[in-house]
Amino acid sequence: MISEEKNQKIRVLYLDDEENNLRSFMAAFRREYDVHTANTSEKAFEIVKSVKPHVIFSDQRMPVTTGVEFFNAIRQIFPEPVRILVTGYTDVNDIIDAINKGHIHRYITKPWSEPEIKVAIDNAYDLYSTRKALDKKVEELEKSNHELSRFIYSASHDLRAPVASALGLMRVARHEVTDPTAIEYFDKLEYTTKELDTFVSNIIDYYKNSKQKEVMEELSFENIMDDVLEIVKSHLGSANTMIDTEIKQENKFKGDPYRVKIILSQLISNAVKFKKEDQESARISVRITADLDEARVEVEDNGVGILKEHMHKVFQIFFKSNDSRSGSGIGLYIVKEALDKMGGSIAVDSKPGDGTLFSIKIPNRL
Amino acid sequence: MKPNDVKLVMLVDDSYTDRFIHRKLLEIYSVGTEIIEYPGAREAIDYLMKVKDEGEDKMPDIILLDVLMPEMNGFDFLVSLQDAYEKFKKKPLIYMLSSTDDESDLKRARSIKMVKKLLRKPFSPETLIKALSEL
Repeated sequence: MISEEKNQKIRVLYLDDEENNLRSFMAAFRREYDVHTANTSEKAFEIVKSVKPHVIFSDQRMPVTTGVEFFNAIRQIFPEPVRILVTGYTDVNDIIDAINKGHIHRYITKPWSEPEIKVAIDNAYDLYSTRKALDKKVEELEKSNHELSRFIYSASHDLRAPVASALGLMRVARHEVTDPTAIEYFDKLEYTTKELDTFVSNIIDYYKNSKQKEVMEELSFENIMDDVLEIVKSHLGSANTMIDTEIKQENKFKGDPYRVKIILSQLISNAVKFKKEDQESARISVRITADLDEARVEVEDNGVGILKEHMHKVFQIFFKSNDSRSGSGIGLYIVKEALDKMGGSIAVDSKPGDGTLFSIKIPNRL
Repeated sequence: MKPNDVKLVMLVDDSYTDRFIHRKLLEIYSVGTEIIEYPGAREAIDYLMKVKDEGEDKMPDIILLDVLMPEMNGFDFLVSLQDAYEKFKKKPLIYMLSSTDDESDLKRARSIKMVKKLLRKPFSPETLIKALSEL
């Protein structure tokens, strides 16, 4: 068997205080493997350092250190090589202990046979390269995870700023431009830019929910609602929407403010978006009751409602109804995910043409 | 406080476009009679120090302060202004502006007494007018 690195032979080190054993080991395997031998643990250490073997065999019974002791020392500094102990039938308890603690991979009884050692080397190398490949994969995943985080961070900071500026410019233009054709274009531009803004916010919310650890804080639903309305209203711009809020919180409530805000702003934005075509303004009511057990949140609108056959799909990622306002289809998915992380639940009730009611429960973690 | 009680407004924002937007919107909603703009926090602080030495005639009523700016950001601005601000006879109302929904910025802004509120971009004069009326 050939090592995968640059088509080199598998590197094997054998440590034994008896020169005869070393010589016969060398003679038996030198053609097939890159064999190194050492008669003291100091020499073995030097070889491990310079040669970086894939597999190390060590005799158990040696005058200064035992094989188990040697392996125990070497694995602290060089954990990668696969360690195999060569031993007689004595010292069984020591060996079992060493295997159980993971200090050695396996043992081979003396006197060893050539085929037995060959199989041991090849299996050990398999293990070595699988571990290596796994380490590499983990490293790659960590890197791409890190890059993804960086990307999302950039998206939230660098992408949202120009979008906000574009929306601001349109806001100014609305006051200064009088030409009806131009106004019509600005309306369309604003609509499209808001879609972009929502999508950027959704990506950020999705990321925050999936990556951020749960934060436990005492929550005031009044304050949370203020923040949420600030966000929702800046998305709305000039759209005509009435949002009634009713908050009853008599006890302390502990929960994750980030996720509660994500849930509320997603649901309210959703309700704003799906008003009926002929409706002048959307009417949304948000009712929150928080007690010692949980917070019950209801977000109700009088919009288009959800078709019965779509009801069970609305929380799926990338689900879109035929409605052109559906957007990216991640809003409600994020809501569901955030609730799952907090141990909460959501139910939906809707009549097409009448409106939709989302009922949420968030446990109080006080 | 009503919008026409506001005389001088100071804009501190590195984005030319955003300063343009804020100036225009303040004019349209008649918030303030004079607007001064600074693209960086350092220059804005220099201005405030000079005004303090000259008897505070030209002290802004409102400062709209961007959070994300190069070199010295909005929070750095507040840290360097803090001691002088305590000694101002007339204390400008400071509103911070941010285009991100960063929770840590929001928390930090709430913890600073000088800051009235952190507003989200795009800046909405209605929100500012409402915030002023609550004073």
